Amino acid sequence: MISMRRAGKRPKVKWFQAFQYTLLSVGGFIMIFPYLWMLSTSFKARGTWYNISLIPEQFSLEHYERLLSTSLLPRWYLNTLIVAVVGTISVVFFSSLAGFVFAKYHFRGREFMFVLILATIMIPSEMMIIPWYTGVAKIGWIDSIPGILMPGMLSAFGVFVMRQFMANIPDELLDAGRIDGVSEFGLFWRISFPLARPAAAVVAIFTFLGHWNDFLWPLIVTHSDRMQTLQVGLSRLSQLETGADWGGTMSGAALASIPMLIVFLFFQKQIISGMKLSGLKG
Amino acid sequence: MGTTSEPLAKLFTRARKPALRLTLAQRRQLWAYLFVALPFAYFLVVNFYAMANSFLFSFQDYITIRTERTWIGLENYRTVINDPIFRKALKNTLIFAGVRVPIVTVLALGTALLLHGIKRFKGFFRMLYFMPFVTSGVAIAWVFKFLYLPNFGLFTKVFDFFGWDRIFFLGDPRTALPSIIAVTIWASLGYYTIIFLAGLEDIPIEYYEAAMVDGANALQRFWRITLPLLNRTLVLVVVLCLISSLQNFTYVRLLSKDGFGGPLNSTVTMSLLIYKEAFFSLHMGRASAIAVLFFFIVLVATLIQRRLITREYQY
Repeated sequence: MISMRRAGKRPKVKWFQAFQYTLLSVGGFIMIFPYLWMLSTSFKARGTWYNISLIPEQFSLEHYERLLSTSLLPRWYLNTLIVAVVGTISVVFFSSLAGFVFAKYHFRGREFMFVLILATIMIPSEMMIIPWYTGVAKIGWIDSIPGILMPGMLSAFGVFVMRQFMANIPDELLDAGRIDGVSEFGLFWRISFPLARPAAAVVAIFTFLGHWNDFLWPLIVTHSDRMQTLQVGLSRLSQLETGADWGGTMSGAALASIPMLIVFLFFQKQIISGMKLSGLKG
Repeated sequence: MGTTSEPLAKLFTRARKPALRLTLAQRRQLWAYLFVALPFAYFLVVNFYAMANSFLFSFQDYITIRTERTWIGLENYRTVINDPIFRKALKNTLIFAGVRVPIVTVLALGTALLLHGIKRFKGFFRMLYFMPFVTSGVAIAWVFKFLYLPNFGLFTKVFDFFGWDRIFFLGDPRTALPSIIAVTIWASLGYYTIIFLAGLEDIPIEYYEAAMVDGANALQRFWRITLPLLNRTLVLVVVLCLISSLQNFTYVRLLSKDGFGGPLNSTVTMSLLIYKEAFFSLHMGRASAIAVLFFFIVLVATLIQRRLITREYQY
């Protein structure tokens, strides 16, 4: 409030503030407009997608109805949900366990192992998709949920974040637990993990988001229409399913992106703090 | 391990009567190895074993539909390097990064400074700019493909409205790549803005107050305080943006005219070419050679970038 009053006294500052808000609003409009256009088009009746009014002249839900009833979209939702949930549980559990060990135990090779795990962040997945594919083919997991999940069961980012956080847990607390007869796994599961829940939440949200939006690997490992994830299915939406209409494609895009936007609205704080944590590695 | 816990620890060992006669420290080490074994093995197999295989495949005549593979030395690399499409892909990949990284860095820094300077609606604006980060690339690509549409797309209609000459964004070899780069800039601006914003919030406000007392103007404060102290963040943003610019598969695949880098290979990039060679031409060996070259470009670019930027701003 004080600064606002001060700003009022100095016209130069006031003008500058107005300038800042104007620029941010123009930028904000550029950011939000594609979303508005997507939603608007998705509600336009069949055959009217080329109409350039932002508010549909004939409001219609037919594209959503068609996608949800006659296409495989519900099945893709299910596949994606299974992949994202299983992947997230696995990443959070194993990243926490590894992070706990790297933060709280002293053993030979610790630094070497940790650096090696962190180094995997530098390897582009483009480099690994071919061996992944041949490997998954050998096990017979092509076109299956385990196949989609294979490279996403653990993340170096997760190990890093969990180690940073677990390092702050006092050793005395663990020693006290040991005296009380808590097993080494209990020290992790019953003492350290509950304390590291904020960090685990960050890892969980980022992992879920990553699995939900992943495209390259699911595209390669899935073949049949039924096994596709939401993003792969959306990328291959056929003319038949969209009614040869951009309204159909836009409603598909909306259905694929809105769940994550809702997640974002709820977990904004964790996502932004997670980005700050990831900034630490620089 | 604190010194205070040592006597207690000894007591604890004696009470347990270890069968293997291990010291407490050894027993803990054993648990540590046990816990970390599975995660570490996973990284070894999924990342390092895969990477090693990529190298091996790149020296083999490896075609998906044939069962036998023969060692052919550097033949794949020779074929790839002499392939004009590969050269085009390499060039486009470098242009992609060379254009995108500076624009994103400047725009994100600008946006972060604007956001840092305002008091009201900060969270609201931050949310607006950050939304594409949580939106799938596929959805974004489809929305922009629709906006870029030749005759009925909104952008074309806007051009018509103002009486400007039409641009065939994705359909014209001259504008196709810039049009795709523009989408990736839009999509990632908020992400880098947030990283810059975190960096700006870490700069102690006392520095600015002291500078203001000394009579430094806004521009001087930016060059002398903000930029040098933002050095670490700047390096991080440039490196992250560079890596993500090289890995541009989703957008190039979905926005290029035929999905394979059209028109006239004007949007073919290395990540797209790896995919095409491996899963459409079925030349796994050749695709692996491209992947290995791609890996080294990512690695070298990151290392050079790190050095250059840290040196430039050392005070």
